[in-house]
Amino acid sequence: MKKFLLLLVLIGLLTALQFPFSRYMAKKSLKARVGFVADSAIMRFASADHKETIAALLTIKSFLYYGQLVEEKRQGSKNVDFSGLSRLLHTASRLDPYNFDIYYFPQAIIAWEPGFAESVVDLLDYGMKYRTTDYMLPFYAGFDSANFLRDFEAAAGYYKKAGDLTGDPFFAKLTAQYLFEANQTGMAIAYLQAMLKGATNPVVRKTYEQRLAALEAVATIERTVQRYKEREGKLPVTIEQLVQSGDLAAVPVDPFGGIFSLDADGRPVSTSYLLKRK
Amino acid sequence: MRTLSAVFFLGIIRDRVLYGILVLAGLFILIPTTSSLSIRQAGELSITLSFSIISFLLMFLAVVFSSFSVWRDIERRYTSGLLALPVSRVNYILAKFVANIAIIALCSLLFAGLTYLTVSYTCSLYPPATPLVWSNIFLAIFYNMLKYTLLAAFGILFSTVSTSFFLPIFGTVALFFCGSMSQDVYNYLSRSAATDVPLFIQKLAAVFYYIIPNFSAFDFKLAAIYSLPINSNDLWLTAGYFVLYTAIVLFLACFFFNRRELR
Repeated sequence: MKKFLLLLVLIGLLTALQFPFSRYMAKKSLKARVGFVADSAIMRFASADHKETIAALLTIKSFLYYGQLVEEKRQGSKNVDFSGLSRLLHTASRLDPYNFDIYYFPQAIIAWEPGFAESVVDLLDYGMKYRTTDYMLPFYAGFDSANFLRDFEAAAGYYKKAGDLTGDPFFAKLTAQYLFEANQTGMAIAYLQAMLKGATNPVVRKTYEQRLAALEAVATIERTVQRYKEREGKLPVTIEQLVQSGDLAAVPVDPFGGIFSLDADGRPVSTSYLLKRK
Repeated sequence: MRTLSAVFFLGIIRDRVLYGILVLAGLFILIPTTSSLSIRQAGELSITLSFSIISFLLMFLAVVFSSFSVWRDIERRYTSGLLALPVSRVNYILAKFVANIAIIALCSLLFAGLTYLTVSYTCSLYPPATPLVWSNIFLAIFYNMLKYTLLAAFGILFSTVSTSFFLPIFGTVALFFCGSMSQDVYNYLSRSAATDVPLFIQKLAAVFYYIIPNFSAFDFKLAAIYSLPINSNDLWLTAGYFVLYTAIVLFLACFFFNRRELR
């Protein structure tokens, strides 16, 4: 009986410990949670017969890590180790270059972080060597090249590649538009709307919806600035000026918590990390 | 030899270790849930995980029932008693190997069935981007089986020359890792970027590459997971490699066992 009681006490203590323990585990950094991931060459040797599984597990772990931060509304660059995530996914791609999640996840999340688009395009380029019939990778790379890197020639090249793979005239249209650098925000909105349609994962959907809302606010400001310029013959200096002139009902809200303003060229910028201009 | 193989096979079937390994096959139940964690390729992940479980369990089977069982027979002096009967040492080794092939094949068949059930179920919930090619999946399992049969042959070889269980067990596991990475090391050293590696190391690696078994040749997992085409030439070459390599390893095992002094 005494032994049984002792067992019950131990189980009770363990249960009580679970709450602070799980809180402590949840706050761990990416390195602590995912563990140190060695260079891809070493990982290839170490994972022996389980390369594809290790690649899938690394991708899932990084996604779960990010998903939890989204749940806690801590997805900003201050809280997320995007460099670590990017390194980890590059390693995963060397273990299993065919795994689509390895490209889908960084495209949905990391490419939008200032300074990370190049690394994502590099990852997509690597994937294109293996997923040779998949038009999605050049489609993603085209969007990143134009929207984040402002390399319209490269974007047109990627869209041409996607068009060649699908035979869809939509890509030829995109190629032409990017070659003329026209309506960047509108293109980004169209891209996000298309991606949102195909997204089933709740974390990815939430991220896309938030970005879409931000870009729609930007598009509204851009349209209003254009209207103001055509009417007044000069650019407005502040967004408040647009509100005072009656062109805007109110200053649009940045869903990422920043405040919108106009740069010297009359283009909208935001204090939030996502909409800062390069 | 047939009777002896049957005796060894039944011995393995009665072994509790086998049941322990088969209980681990219960991991297949977790595959559909784990696969749902993938963002866009749950079906593909279910195949990946199935292959990992199969590899993990077959490696255990190959190591435990080849190297460990021969070493245990010698240690318990079963071998001496058995060889007092009109049974040649060559027959003993070959019968051990045949029993190992039989158990690895039987378990592979069972795991292939479990893979079929779990992958079909997962893909009914999360349809894969490209249609499944079952022939690729079963071919990959078959070549996996050949790989672990070759590993079992090495386990037997090591146990014929060793007086403790360290070499048969750890030697077989170490050989598995070396054989799995030898192609990657060879590819790396063959690249022009590897000019900073001393020539001596490069030559040594090349020698090891040809001596130790190339287990990565048996890996058709990517073709199975992503429905990629498999070149029939690759299949024939790998099958030929398996037959010749296994024959040489068994020849050496018989050679050393014939010269071994048994208590």
